[in-house]
Amino acid sequence: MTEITKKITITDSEIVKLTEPGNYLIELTKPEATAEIFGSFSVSRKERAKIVVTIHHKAPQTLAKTNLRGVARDKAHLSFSGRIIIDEHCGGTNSFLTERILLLSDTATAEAIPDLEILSDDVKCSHAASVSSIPAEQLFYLMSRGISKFEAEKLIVDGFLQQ
Amino acid sequence: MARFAQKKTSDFDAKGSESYEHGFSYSTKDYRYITKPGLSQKVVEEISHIKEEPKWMLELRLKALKQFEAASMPKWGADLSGIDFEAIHYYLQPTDKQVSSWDDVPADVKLTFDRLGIPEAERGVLAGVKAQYDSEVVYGSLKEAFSKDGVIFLSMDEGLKLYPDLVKEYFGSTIPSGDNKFSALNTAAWSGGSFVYVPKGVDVKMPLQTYFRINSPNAGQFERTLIIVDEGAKVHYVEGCFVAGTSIVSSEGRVFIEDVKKGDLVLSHEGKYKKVNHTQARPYSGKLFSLSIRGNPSEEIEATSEHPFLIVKRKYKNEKNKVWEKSWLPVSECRQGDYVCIPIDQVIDEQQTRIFPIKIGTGKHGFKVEQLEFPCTPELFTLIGYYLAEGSISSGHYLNFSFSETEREFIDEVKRLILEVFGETRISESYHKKNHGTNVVVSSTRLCRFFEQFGKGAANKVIPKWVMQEGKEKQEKLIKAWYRGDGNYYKRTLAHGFKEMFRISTVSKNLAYQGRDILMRLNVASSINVRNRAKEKRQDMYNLVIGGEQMIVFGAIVDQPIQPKIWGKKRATYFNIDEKYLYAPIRSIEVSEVDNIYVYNFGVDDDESYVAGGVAVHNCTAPSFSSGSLHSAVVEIILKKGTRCQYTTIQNWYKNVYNLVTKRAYVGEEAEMIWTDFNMGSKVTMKYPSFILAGKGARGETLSMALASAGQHQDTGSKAIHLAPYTSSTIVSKSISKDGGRTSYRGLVNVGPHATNSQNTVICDALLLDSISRSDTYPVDRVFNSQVAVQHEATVSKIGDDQLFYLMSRGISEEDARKMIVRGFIGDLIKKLPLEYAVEMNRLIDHEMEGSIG
Repeated sequence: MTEITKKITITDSEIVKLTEPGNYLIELTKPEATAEIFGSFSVSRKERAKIVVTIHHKAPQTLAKTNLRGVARDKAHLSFSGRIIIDEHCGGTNSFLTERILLLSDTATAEAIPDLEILSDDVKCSHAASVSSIPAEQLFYLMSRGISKFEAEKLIVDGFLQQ
Repeated sequence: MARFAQKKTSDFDAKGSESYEHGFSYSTKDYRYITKPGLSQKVVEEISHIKEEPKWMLELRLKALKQFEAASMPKWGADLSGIDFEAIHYYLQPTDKQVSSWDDVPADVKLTFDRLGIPEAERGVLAGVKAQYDSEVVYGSLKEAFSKDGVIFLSMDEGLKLYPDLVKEYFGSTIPSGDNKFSALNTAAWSGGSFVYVPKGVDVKMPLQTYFRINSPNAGQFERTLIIVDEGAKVHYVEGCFVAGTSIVSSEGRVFIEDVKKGDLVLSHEGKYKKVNHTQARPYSGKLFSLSIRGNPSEEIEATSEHPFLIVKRKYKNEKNKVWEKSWLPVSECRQGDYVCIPIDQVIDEQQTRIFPIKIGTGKHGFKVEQLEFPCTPELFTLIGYYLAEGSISSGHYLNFSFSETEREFIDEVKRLILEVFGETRISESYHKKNHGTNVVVSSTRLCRFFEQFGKGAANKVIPKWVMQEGKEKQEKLIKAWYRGDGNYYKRTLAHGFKEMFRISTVSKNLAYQGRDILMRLNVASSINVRNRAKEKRQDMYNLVIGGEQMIVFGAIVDQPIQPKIWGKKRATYFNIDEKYLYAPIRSIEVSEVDNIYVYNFGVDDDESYVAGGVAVHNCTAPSFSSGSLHSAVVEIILKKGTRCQYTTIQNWYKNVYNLVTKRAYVGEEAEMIWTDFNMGSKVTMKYPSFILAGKGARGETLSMALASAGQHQDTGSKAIHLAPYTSSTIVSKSISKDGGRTSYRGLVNVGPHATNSQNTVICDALLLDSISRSDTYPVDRVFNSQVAVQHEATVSKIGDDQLFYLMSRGISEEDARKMIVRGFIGDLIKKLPLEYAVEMNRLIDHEMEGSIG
């Protein structure tokens, strides 16, 4: 996979889908601009993927929802680095960042860095990050209904990546 | 806790001012040892030599010095450019040896701790107290019961002497000297700190406590703490870095300090009026400094020794300074001849017309209020000037101006002006034969009511605020008329030349000082002297004296031009005056010992300063040094199998301290480490208590709270390193930013490949109280195996309008509502503190929150 660098300026309401690793700078420059950013990534073998997303709020009353999901198999490494920057005088801004990573093998590794830099008040801003394996209860539930472990894993992963 | 004392006379101590040469907040002449500023191999060798350390320690120090020199400053995090490593004293040793009884602690050290507000109860009842004063632990006591169990609680130096093997084994094992620049610095220059060893199976129920304080400017504090908890033992260690810091000091211009109330407005060193946000009085024993200032010798200023004043240091012995560079200095550092800064009221409120509500009697129907409107002109101010000098009100309805019969010109002017300004025609003249006086009498109740605000008789003459803050041109007219009435030009030929001055005399003390304030606004420095006329059975006479160079400006105001030079030389003056300050030299400083007198305290919004006895002083508790101090500690904790250690820090350093601390715990099997970290003070804090979860089933927990106000950056967080299976960690961080302060959470969670079935949860909540503050979150989660659950959550918010609305609709004021919300925000962390600290924290937070509406 080649690294790409992309700058996206959002003035209205947009849905951005991220499919390739790389550096993304998303700027919300007009008041009341909204962005929904969704990225799903799957790495396997010895791949190393790094996704850097910066959401920069430059205008008041903007909204951004960022959702990054990834699955790492084999010896792959997956890194999510998300950053929300809210400039001064950008009151009324809401921004949410979620980074979730599923590790499907003991040798897969992951890194999640969700940063916040907030220079104005009257904002609602949160981020959440999690790294985990497939919860045993979920696998058990599906397998108890006659689905093989392999199938169950596939179902869970597909669901996880599609949201 | 510097405070000003209630006025009292003090005996002159001739030696007092001589014995304060070293320029420290407390005399450091008794210090056994002070290194030269700067760090070099020689200094390190000296420190090690004085402490009679084993060779391996010296080698370790020298190795660390090299590492320190080689390491670069961290490029991330807070701005550290203000640290000047060359200016720091790396080692100060206040007393000869450690003392084991509180009574043996040197008096001034004890005093400092008294002022820190370390409660008596904590000293006596609670277990061990170790107090670190500058670099050394000066007092340590340990409850006997603990010693019996074999608990060791010593200063690090003692620990090294008595248990060299134990120290050698663990010193630097968790935090090697090369870990970072500041751990290297600490390893090279460490002194003081604590050494704690808890033997197998001992549960130390009382918290062990230490207090630290930086007493000298540019002193680095590099304590080193090593805690070893042996299998199955439990301990709670509390580090109270400067617990006080809440309350402040003193008096405003003409109001007695004891009368200052919360909400009063006082003049700050910026020449603006600021609100008093709290007041306090408490008994004080110790040294009291009395300053007598040129120009105002009758009013002495008394302050406790570390109280900071705004001072310009005298550069030349017999000449005035050329540059006027101000700094906050503790009074104990002031010398005779230094200049104190007297702020000039910068408020100008000019109006063309003014309206005064005046009560007019309506016979038996009581009073009605009339709005009296008149032009606020220079002519009115001339009249006010005449009134201040010669006016009085008799029988409540007659306004009198009493002149000498020879002052025909003034009499006519007053009559003309009353007609011009007020349109009043009921003016008559009466002649007093015995005194050769002429009275101008105006029969107007309305004018009497108006002039009443300037005082009815000579002794209670006063200038109201609106006059004090009017424009210069009008005030010049007032001074001119006042001078005509009450002033004179004095010239007397002496054997060696002549003495020349302008004088204005009054029996009203208030008026004399207010006259001085107005003259400062007009760029004239004047002196006040008092003549006691008790023998003549008359009231004290206050003379406002304008002499030397100041006469030139004053002469122009009162139309009495003065030769700018005498014998071709400039006229001399003690003073210097610019737009914002009058600089007056200190005439003398006296030191006295006082016992149990009441000293007063108050805090001021924004500028944190006020004007006491006419001089700008700061209202802080800790010594305020113009240069930043550095606190760079290293805390290493080793937890063996099945142990538990809680380490609590409450950090409230003075706001020029760089607080750069490395704290790390090595957590063994089934052991539990809890860091409770509260950061409120210091200019910059960079502190990331961390735990290495090395044994199976180890647990780590960090509870971190930061509060940043103006000029502060709290860069705090925590690190969790999971190395073994079934380890778990929780990091809860709460931060509050206000008044432009900045808080950052910086954290690292690293789950290694062997740390299967591990869990980590990080919760960061930030509260922004205004739009100029800033909050950042920089977490990093690194996971190297799949059998884990790592979670991170962060939110940033402000106090919601709906929350405020809810509380206010129930009759709670906005300020209280905000306080409640903030208290709720951090409440679950406060609960983890020992009771007395929880109380203290709540109090501190309430204090910090005071007046922060908006």
